[in-house]
Amino acid sequence: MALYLSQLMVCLKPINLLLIFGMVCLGIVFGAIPGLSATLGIALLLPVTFGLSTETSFILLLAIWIGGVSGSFISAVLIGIPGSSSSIATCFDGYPMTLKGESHKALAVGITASFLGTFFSVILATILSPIIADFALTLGPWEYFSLCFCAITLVASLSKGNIWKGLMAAGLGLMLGCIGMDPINGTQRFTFGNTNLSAGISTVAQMLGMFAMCQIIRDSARGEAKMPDAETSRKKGFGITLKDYFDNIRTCIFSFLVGLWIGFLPGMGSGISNMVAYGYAKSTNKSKIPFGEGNPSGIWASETANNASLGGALIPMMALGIPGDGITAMLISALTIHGLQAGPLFMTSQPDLAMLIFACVLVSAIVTFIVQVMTKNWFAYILRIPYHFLYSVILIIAYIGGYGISNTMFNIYVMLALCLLSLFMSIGGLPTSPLVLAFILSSKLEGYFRRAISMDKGSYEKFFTRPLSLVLLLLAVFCVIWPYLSDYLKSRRAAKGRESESDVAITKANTQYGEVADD
Amino acid sequence: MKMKRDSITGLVGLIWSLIWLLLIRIQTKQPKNLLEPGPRLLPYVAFTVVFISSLMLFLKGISDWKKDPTPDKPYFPKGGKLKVTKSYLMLVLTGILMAVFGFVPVAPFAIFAFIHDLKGNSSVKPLQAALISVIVTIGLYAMFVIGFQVKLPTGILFK
Repeated sequence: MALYLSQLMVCLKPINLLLIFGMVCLGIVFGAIPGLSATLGIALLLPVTFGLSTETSFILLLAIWIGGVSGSFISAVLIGIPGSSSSIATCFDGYPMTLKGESHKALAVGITASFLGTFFSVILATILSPIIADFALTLGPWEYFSLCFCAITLVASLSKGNIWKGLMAAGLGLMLGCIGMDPINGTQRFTFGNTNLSAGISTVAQMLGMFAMCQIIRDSARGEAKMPDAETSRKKGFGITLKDYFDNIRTCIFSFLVGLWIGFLPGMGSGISNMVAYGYAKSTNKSKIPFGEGNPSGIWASETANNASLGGALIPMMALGIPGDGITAMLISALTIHGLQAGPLFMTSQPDLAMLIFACVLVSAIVTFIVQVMTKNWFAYILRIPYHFLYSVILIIAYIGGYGISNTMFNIYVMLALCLLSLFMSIGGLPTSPLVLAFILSSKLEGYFRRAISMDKGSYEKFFTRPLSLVLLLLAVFCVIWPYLSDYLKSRRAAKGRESESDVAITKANTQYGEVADD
Repeated sequence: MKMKRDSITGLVGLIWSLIWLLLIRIQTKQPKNLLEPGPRLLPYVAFTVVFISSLMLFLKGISDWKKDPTPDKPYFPKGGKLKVTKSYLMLVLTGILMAVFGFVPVAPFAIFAFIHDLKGNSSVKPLQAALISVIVTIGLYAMFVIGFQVKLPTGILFK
C-alpha cells in the first residue's frame, strides 16, 4: 500500500500530471475519430519513448490508452459511427438520443459510465494482480504453454466471419513469429542471411504497418474516411443527475462485471464486452423507451463494460505477461523495449514500476473524466478535423517510428511489407487480431513448450496430467469446436421450433374445428 | 473460372503454405541429439495451421458457390483498386526517397502528396497544403529530434 501511494504521488507530480493531461487529450482525439484508435496512438507514441525513462514512457503510453478507450463513445453518440469496436453498442442508443436532441445527456452518460468502468476495474486490477502473480509463480511451462495456446485459439474462434479465417490469420502470425533466432537454441530461421532479421520482426513496425498505414490507405480507397457533420450545440450543466445513475445501477454493476471478466480473458476485450452488456441491459429493460430508440441504459451498459475491460486486461498483462488484446501487446512490447520482461516475476522484481502502472491508469481515468466534463461542448469539433491533414501527419510519423526502432531503414521496409500483407488480409476477410496475438505469443508458446519437453526428458505427459494445463487445453479445444457445436444446437433448436410451431398450428386448427389434439 | 473470395483466399493460403514448407527445409537447421522437438517445430505448426485452415476455407468457398453462384460484392468501390495501388506505391516511393535523401528534404513533399492523395472529393488549396506540409515537417523535426532525441533518416547522400 505504501509503495502504491508513493507511486501515486509520482504520478501527481506537476510534470507528470501535465504529461498525463496532454496524452489524455491526444488519446480522446484518437479515440473519438473513427479509424484512429488507442492502439494506433500507442504505436505512434512508442518510438517517442525510446529515449525517455521507463517511468515517463509508461505515463505517456497509459494516458493515451485511457483517453483513447474512453473517447471512442464520442463519435458513436454524435454521428452514429463508433470510434472503435468497443463502442459499437453505444451507437444503438447514443445516436438516436442525439437525433432526439439529447446529445448532451448521452455524452454525459458516456463520460460517467466510462469513468466508473475504468476507475473501479483498475482498483480491482491493483488488488488482484499481485495475488494472481503469486499464484502464477507456482505454475510451470506446461501451464504457461496451455495458457498461450488457449489465448490464441480463443481469439481465432471469436473472429468475425468464420473460425478458419481466424485460424489462418493466427497461422500467419506464427509464421511471422518464426522469423529470427529461435528462443531455445538460437538457431537462425528464415533470415535469408540478413542480420536485420536476426532479432525477428519488430512489433512496432508490425503495428505501424498493419494498423496505421494499411488502415489509412484502405479506408481512403474504400471511401470510408468521410463522416457526417456532428451537432455543435452548446448546453449548460452536466446533463445527468445522481438519480439517472441510481436508476441504472443494476445495469452498471452487471456491465462492470461482464466487462471485467471479458477483459481478463486473453484475446477478448472491450469489443465483445460492450455487446454482451448491451444484450443483458436490453433483455432486462423495464423502461418505457425501447432499446435502439434512445434509451440511456444502453449507453450505461456499453460504456461501463468496455471501460471495465481495460482493468480486466491489465490483470493477465501484469500478472502473467499474457496480452489480452492489441493494446496490452503493445504495452508488453514497450516493457521489452525498456529491457523489462512482463510476467509473474515482474510484480516482484519491478514493484515500483508495477504500482506506477496501476497508479497512472487511475490518475489518467480521473484526468480523462475531468477533461471530458470540461470540454464536452467541443467534442463535435474533434470530428471536424479534416481527415486528409490528420492522416498525412500520421503516415509521416509512422516513417519516423519505423526508423526509430533500430535507426535503420530496414524497419520501414518491414512496415511497408506488412502494410501490403494487411491489405491482402483485409481483401480476403482475414482478421488482424489473431495474427497480432499469435505473433506476440509465438516465442512464448514455442519456448514454454520446448522447455517443458526438455524438463520432462522428452515426455508430453505432463501437459495432460497437470490439472490446470489440462483444463486450459480442453478449453482451447472447446473454443475450436464451439462454433460448430453452436451452429448444430441452433439448427436443432430451429427444427424443434418449427416442429412446435406446426404443433401449435395443428392444435389451433383442431380447436377451431372442435377437436382436441392428442399431444 | 469464377470463385468466391473465400476460395481465392484459401487457394493463396495453400500455395503460400507449400512455399513455407519448402522454406523450412532451406532456411531452418535442425541440431542433432535434442531432447525436445527443436527449432523446426513452430514453423511446422504454423504450416499445418495455415494449410488446414486454407484448405477448409477453399472448400467452404466452393460449397458456398454451389449454393449461391452469385459473385461476392467487390471489396473496393469502383476505382478503389487503382487508388489503393497508387497510395501504396506512394508510400513505397516515400520510403525509397527517404533512404536516399533523408527525412527533412522528403517529408514536406511526401505530406503534400499524401494530402492530395487522401483528400477525396474535398477541395484543398495547393498553397494551404504546401504551408501545412512545411509547418508539420518543422514541427515533427523539432519534436522528435530536439524534444525526444529520436534520430530521423539521414539519407545515403547526406551521411
